[in-house]
Amino acid sequence: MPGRRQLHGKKYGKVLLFLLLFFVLLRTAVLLLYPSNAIFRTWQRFYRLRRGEVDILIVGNSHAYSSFDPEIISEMTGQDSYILASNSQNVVQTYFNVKEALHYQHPDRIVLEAFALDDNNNWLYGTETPDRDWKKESNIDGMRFGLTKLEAITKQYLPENWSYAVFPILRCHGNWADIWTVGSNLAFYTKEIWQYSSFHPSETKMTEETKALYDTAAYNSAPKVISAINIEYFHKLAQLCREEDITLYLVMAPMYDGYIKSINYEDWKGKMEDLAESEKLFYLDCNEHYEEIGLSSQDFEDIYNGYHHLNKDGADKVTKFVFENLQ
Amino acid sequence: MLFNSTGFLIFFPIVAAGYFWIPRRYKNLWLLGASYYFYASWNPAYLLLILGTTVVSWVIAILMDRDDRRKKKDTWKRWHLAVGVLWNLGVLLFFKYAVFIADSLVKGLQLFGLSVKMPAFDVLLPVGISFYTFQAMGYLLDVYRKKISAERNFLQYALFLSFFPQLVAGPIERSGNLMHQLKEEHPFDLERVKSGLLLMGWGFFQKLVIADRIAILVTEVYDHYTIYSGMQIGLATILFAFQIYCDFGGYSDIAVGAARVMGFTLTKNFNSPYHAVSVSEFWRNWHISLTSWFRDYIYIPLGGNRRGRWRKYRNILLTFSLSGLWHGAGWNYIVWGLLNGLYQVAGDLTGRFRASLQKRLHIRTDCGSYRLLQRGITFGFVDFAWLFFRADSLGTALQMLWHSVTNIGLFTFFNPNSLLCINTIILPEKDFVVMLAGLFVLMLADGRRRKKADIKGTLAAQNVWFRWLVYYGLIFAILIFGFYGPEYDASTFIYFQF
Repeated sequence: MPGRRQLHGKKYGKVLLFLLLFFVLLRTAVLLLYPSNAIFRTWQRFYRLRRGEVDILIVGNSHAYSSFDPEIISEMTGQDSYILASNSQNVVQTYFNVKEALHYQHPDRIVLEAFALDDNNNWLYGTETPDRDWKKESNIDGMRFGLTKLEAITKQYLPENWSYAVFPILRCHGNWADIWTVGSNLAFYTKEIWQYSSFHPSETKMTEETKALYDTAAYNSAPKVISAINIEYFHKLAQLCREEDITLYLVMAPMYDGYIKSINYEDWKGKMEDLAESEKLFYLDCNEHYEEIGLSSQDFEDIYNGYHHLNKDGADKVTKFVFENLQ
Repeated sequence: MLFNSTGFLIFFPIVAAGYFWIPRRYKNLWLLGASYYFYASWNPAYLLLILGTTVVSWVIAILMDRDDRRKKKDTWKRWHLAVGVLWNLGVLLFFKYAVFIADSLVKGLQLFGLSVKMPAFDVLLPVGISFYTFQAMGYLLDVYRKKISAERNFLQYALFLSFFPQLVAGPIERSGNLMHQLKEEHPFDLERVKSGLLLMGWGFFQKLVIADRIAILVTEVYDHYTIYSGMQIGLATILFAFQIYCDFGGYSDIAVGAARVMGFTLTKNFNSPYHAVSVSEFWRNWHISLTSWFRDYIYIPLGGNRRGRWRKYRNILLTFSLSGLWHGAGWNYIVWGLLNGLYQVAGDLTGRFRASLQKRLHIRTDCGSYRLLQRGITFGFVDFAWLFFRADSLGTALQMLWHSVTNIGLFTFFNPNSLLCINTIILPEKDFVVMLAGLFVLMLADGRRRKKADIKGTLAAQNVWFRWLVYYGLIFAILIFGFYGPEYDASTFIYFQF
């Protein structure tokens, strides 16, 4: 006859098993119901990588995922790389992303694309419009539950939104009726995830019409702002890399030169150089090597808004140039 | 703090865990603190009101007890009771009925050509005021009748009146049921906790999956009834019967379940009401704690059914009109109550005639088909009255009825290309199907309960994989099909407004 203690142990063991299974099912439900987007999927692919598979980690916002091609990096260096970047990511989130990534991988080198320091993406979740918030949300949702995720939430979300950040099911459960989302997610997790690339270059080329708009653009002398919190987290990131014995590089992806001529780029460049210098980092600004890289308007996306993401041709050139220099 | 808010999902586990963890002598203090926090989360100013009601009724009860012990004249005791009841009624009148009374007075005087300007009232109706004032009055009346002795421990009494699971929408507890439980120890019992959580889960299912889904359709039709046909208004009214049941029944199950987790047994508030075969049976099974309150403290003291038929009918109509008024300060609520009273009077008056008709026509009354017919007719009557309950005012209810009769829309409603025109009333068809599935499960469970089947016991006798399948099925039905989260306007429980 089992003792009373044994019976109690069995009962509570069952409760624990029930809870464990509940969380597994809950996670499965989130994966199936979550609106399909590249940010969330970039994380899911990252978690499927073999431990120690990543030698080079590229972090930052959309410029990071559109400028560097892991296949070219692999050909050039013989090393595997992964781009853990997301739309409008700023360095605060980048810091937490790297911290989370280090639980699973230990790269030798990390490349931080410098647009992540741009103050434009420095907002608290809940204070902006939903079309911006989803980017922050997808990044947080993509991360696995843990202390790093909780820390990232508390630093980037208003307290009233914490529960929504911790439990994505609160936001995505309504998709049960959206067969397309469920089907797409099912296909992704069962097949496509293994072929998923974290590299997403722009699919357009700048047209003559768009180019002409830049040619006639007025000069804007306003200085670029790098906020105190971005500076703080940039230093934290550099410190984290030092502690983990990882080499951190600061690389600025190129902007279209017609645009550069229309803004106070000297100010932006000076601030970046100072920051890199303060942490003794190798800093590479692609805008300084426009001709060396061989860039033309055709290497940029066809949009007149100052984003200047590279297309595949542009990314090939930039990847080769950057990794030649990093080596 | 709504039961269906993330705040409550954090609050409740902390309170329940704390309750089992802290030493016994602090347990009630802990629950009182939690209950006041729960109530103050709506508006901290409400605390003053509930504290006032608590102090007054506690002191009055002690005074009445003392009157008994000192063998004072009954007059003193009556005066004390009058003060206690007047306080509670006064609070209710001021906060809930002042605007209604003033408005009705002005309109009444206008009928005689008199124009009176009333000062503008802007009083916020405190959540749950009707529930705890009735609980306090019930307690005072029980002490007056010497059913119980006055509670000397203020903390215990304050907790009796403010116990958070039932504070804002009942069940309206009797001191005889809850007070002694507050003095007992409730050690942790895993089986009881499981049973309480299961009941809470069932309550959430009713509220989030069924009631809030129906609410979309009902709100749309009732808010813009002029653009809908009589058939669509009828459908919305039928669905409203289930919305209010799942909303209030769901709330009650969450309340009873939450209390059960901590070891308390609250009064059962519903017992398969839509399976009732007569309106009086419906009322014995609907909002049981309120119906029994009116029976014990209004209907019976008025004479009940002891003083002849017509007095009985008068008492029924008066009690149900008051019950209607309790629900809301509006003529539509009074008419709703009155209709329910009238149904019962009419049922009683026609009883013999119906029996003889059944005999002459050789109608069998001991078979399922007859009971089904009775249920359908009862539901039809009850549902017709719900239209008055749901409408914004008596005028709107009457206009809706007129509009329904003059715009039946039979052929568009049964159009084969569209499922009951549901897609034209905002609610997507997929949601309508989920709602029907939810209602099917609800009626199935209610049917089993009516037959006194031990659902929990039956479930407990199954293999673990089946039990877990049911538990996970319930949890994930709520999580996936429930209406909640930032995109939804968290629907408040209908009875909170009363």
